[in-house]
Amino acid sequence: MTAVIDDGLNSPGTHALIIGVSAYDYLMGSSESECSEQGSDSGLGQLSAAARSASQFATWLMTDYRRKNFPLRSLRILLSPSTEDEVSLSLKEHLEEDSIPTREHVSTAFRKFKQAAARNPDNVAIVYVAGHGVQFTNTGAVLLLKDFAHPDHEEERYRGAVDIRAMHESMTYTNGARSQFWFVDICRQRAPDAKEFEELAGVLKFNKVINTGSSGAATCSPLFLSASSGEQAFAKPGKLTLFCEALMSALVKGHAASSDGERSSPWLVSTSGLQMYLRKTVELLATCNDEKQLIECTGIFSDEIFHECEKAPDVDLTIQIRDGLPVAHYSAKLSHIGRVLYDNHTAWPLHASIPAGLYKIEVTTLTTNEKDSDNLNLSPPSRIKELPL
Amino acid sequence: MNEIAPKNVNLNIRVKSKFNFGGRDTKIDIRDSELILIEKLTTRREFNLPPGLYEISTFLGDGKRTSQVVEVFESQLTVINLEPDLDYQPAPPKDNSQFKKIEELNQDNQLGLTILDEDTDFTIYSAESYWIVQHKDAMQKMPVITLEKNGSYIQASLPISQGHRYSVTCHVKQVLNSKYGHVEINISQSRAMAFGLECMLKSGQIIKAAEVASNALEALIEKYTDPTGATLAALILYKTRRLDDTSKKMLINLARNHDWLPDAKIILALYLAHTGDLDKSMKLACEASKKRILLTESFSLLFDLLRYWPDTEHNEKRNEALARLAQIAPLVVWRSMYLTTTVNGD
Repeated sequence: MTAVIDDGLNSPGTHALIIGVSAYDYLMGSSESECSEQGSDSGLGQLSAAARSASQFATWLMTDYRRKNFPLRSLRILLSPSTEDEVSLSLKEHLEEDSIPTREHVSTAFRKFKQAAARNPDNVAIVYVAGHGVQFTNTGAVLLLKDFAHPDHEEERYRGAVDIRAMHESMTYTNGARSQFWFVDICRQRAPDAKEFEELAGVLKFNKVINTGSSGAATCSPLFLSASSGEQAFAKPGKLTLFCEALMSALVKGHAASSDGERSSPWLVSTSGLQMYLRKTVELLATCNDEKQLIECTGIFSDEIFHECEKAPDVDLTIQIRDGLPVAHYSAKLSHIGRVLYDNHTAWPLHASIPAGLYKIEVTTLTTNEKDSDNLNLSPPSRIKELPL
Repeated sequence: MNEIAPKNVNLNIRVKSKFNFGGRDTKIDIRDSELILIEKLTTRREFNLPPGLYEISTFLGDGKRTSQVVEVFESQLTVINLEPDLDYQPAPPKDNSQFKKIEELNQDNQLGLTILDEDTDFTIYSAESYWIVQHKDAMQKMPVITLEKNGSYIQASLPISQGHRYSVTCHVKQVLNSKYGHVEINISQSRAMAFGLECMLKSGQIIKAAEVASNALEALIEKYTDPTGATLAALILYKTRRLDDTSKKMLINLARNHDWLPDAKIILALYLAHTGDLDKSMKLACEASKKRILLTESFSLLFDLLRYWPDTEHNEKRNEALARLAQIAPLVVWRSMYLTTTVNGD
């Protein structure tokens, strides 16, 4: 049973499929089997962050995902961890033999996921996959599964792989969930030889059934690809992929959220909020690690809600005196909607975690008694403000 | 800037933009101190708001979100000016005769890039590290610039065409080790509407772009005759599922009137495939696969359309078209917006 959750109800809700492949049986460094010739030719080895990232995203879905009228109704998870600690304890107890992401299990899980997502046209469907990958166009992506490079697949190089774009096409243009969100956290390096641009030998595909008329197609089905075409996706060894790290801060900390409704409405993470935040943050995280990684987005775009945050996100604010200036010469007052948070503050630097919003800062130069002020737009995740203004 | 307030108005917003009909239709968001949205996508410019801090934000066709924080007072008018933050582009010459054929160009290029004359029918004006490229003659084929550097060759489709006086130029920037293959191609800023669409696509503002794409498609086909700009609008509408019967008719005209531009046929083929008209879709897809394509994304979407074709009835034609694209696919610089291919000389 790959379904960790499935309430079987037809009422509107959210259905998710998560696949994370860190351990590969026939690639270099496998603890299960000997590396095959094809595995050796591929130059690919074991991963340490893909299953961990998938596990973390799945755990977040189970515990903290919020959509008022679309509760999580089904969740299917297939994980292949390299080490025990890659999978959270709360998930481990649900995983069984068919939770291993082989071609056969992924095929079955996807079929059941698709059926569950089609129970109600108003459903939300979420897919997250992580692992090794290759790409053939700038809108496509292929995920390599645990049994990739199996010696029996010699004649069909991609038999142990699933075409995520084909999955996406088969879900988007049929009578399924109206809102879909696809996160593809894989490398998108070029396929090894040109012939394969035409045909991916043996790759797991899914039928695309066209509706006559567009009423059954999804209105929103963005495909977030963690790396640009031909590029690598990076991870911190033993931690999360950079894409997942950005995704989790977008969702857990609400860093991609904005309030686009009534005063009483929650902060919302929308398609465009996610896209802009992931784009900026993944590039920043990669740059901090001396790498380059740019996300791409394809599929069908409309500004749907992905997640509702409970409160405004916090911002890590640092106020410091500009280098070379005497810290004892300045005091500041920080206020927000008439409420004073800091008054006559003189201990620099000031570090504070405060709700996102518009703040007023008034600075006094103590030696001259000169006063100056500025308006600050504090948006997550952090802001450094230097004094004097 | 604070001024005496006209009665009941304490905030006046001035928009300076060539996009959205001179900024008149530019939509503005206003958020209060808690960043709660209090005015969404409004085209109003005067407000009477409770005193406090507000964030005013908008998209001005430069691909960036422009925002300002202002303090609004009860009986004092606060005026703010919103302007686009455009990247630098040199201006084209006032004298059109300064555009030269390739054989007349001084090709003393610091980056070692040489433009090759591959039966080209456009003219070029060199300015700083840019080439400004224009097309005045009747369109026979997709304009493609061919460059040589150290024995390697780069070919890039160019978003230019014969048409309205503003629709004929693009800027090609020479960049050392650019991720796009030594050149970065942009629609000239004088083509404000097409340039705005291009900026928003490049910066990922697809949903914002969709808000203006429908009007843009009509204007770029019927008013300005800018078929490459119109193609961007059509792609945005397709990606956001906003192609409707009206825009479909315009797309049909675009495909019919500009046979040299296969991208219009590709987007139409995608639309028809998803609405069940597979015969027409395959015909258009096959025709498009025989010509040089403008946009990398159109190329990729055509490839995917053919690869994930839902039936076996058209297998022979489909395989022929796929084979044509597969010849080019390994050479494509996927990150470039305009289809760019590279070949090593050795």
